[in-house]
Amino acid sequence: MTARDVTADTMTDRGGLRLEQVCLRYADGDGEVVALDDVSLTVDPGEMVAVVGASGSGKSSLLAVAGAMRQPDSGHIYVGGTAVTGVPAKQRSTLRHDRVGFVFQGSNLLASLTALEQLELVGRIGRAPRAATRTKALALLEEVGLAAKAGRRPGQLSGGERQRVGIARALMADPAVLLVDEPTSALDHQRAIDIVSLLVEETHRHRIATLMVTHDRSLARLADRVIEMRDGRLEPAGAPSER
Amino acid sequence: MSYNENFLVIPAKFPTFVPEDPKFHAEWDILSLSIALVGIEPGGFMAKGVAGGSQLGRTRTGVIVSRGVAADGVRVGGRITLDRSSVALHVVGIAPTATYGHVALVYAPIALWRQATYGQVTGGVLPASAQGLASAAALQVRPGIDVSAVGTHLGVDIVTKQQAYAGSPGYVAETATMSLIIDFLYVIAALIVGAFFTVWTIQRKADIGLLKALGASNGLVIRDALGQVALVMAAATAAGALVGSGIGSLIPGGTVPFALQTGAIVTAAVILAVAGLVGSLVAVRRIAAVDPIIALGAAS
Repeated sequence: MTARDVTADTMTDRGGLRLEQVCLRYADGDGEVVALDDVSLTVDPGEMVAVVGASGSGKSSLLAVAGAMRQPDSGHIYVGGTAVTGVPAKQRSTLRHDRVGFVFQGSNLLASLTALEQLELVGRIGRAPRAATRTKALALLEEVGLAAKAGRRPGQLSGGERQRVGIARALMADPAVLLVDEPTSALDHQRAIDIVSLLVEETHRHRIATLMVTHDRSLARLADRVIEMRDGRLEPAGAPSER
Repeated sequence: MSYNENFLVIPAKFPTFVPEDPKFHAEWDILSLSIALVGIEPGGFMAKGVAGGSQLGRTRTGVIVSRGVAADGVRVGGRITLDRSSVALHVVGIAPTATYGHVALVYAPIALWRQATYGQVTGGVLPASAQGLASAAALQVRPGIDVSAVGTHLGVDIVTKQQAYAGSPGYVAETATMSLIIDFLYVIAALIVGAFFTVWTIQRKADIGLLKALGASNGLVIRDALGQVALVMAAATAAGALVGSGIGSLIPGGTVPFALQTGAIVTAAVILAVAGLVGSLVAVRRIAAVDPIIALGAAS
């Protein structure tokens, strides 16, 4: 860890999410695509920020660098107070487990595991004690309203229930940052509202810094703050009254 | 006195040993048989090694047939007639399956063998010049004796029992072919297992990406995959060995040169499991290359 990282650690209390002048480019044939262009963003603990934008605007790239899956070409990223830029792959895996929770599009659950096992898997990856993992997993399923369906597999759950399991799984390792990728793409409008409302509630309850990308502006309004992404750049989406 | 190994003395320059083909055409009842006639000294160690060998020598023409001959319907008390010499053999016992060049063995007293072998052109009458002749002789020696020195001194070749087997017609060619087939089967098994686990890995790519996105390291995912491979390989190899043994036990050993030996089955199973694991390493290597980013935007 560099001196700059240590300074950042003290600056971000428990640690939210901070991106400083992040740039990411992809090779595209003979040329290159600028996926993220000098992006700076801070999401505080207990705050949910929604990023809206068209397909190809850079939303997924933003999640990829924030979640330590991609290393940016330049800039700095701090997750839960820890710098993730320039960190070896193995340490980034550990960091993803310890500090980042992911809620994926379409829930992305493992078909062969029950709801409870989906959560326990996170404990196994982190080598947490089995009994404590089970207790915590059951508590989180209770929190998202699925205690009665802990033994069901994804095929036996509705789309909304699967996404609730995905949210509970993302909370298993007490993440500092929650990264949410189009969480409502497979849901009807009412269920989509329920899911985003649950995300807001969990963000506030667990004091997590949540960054959600979505193309649905009406759902983005439920977040504490909305940012527009266009051609790899972030722009304020306007005051709440304008949304 | 104890003996550690049997040796076979085979002709070189020694005049007593004259190579002869032991195969005969013979008749039993209305059947025509192919047999390999082996002459042994009644009461000698070779006779003791043959089940029912004590019967040999009680009558001049009594022989013991191996099970392959009995499978053609020959029974104790029956009479086999050798075609050219017309020498008659009376069956006094039945021994387990034994063959020479895929032809079933018949054990005869050495005198009867000489009469059958050297009397073929004289109507079963043994010429005086053939008295005391033999194709080869079996030796049992005490440990520590330098048999090659004895062979050099006597002007004969002395070989081990295993070398004698290798000298029988077609033995080396057949066993080499079988060994080649078996070796290729191991290679093919490794390729098939490798291909199976490669497809398996490709199908699980999304799941592996998800695990990595959740924070699983390459090492953890690879260890997990290898554990699953080992379980699948162990179960599949055990099932294969059981099915193979089951089917193999249905093959009649008297007519087909086939034997099921526990050691060979266990060795084959272990080699197969190891070959499978080696083959699967190619597939497991792909796991390291799976990018966790595929979890983003993946549908469930």
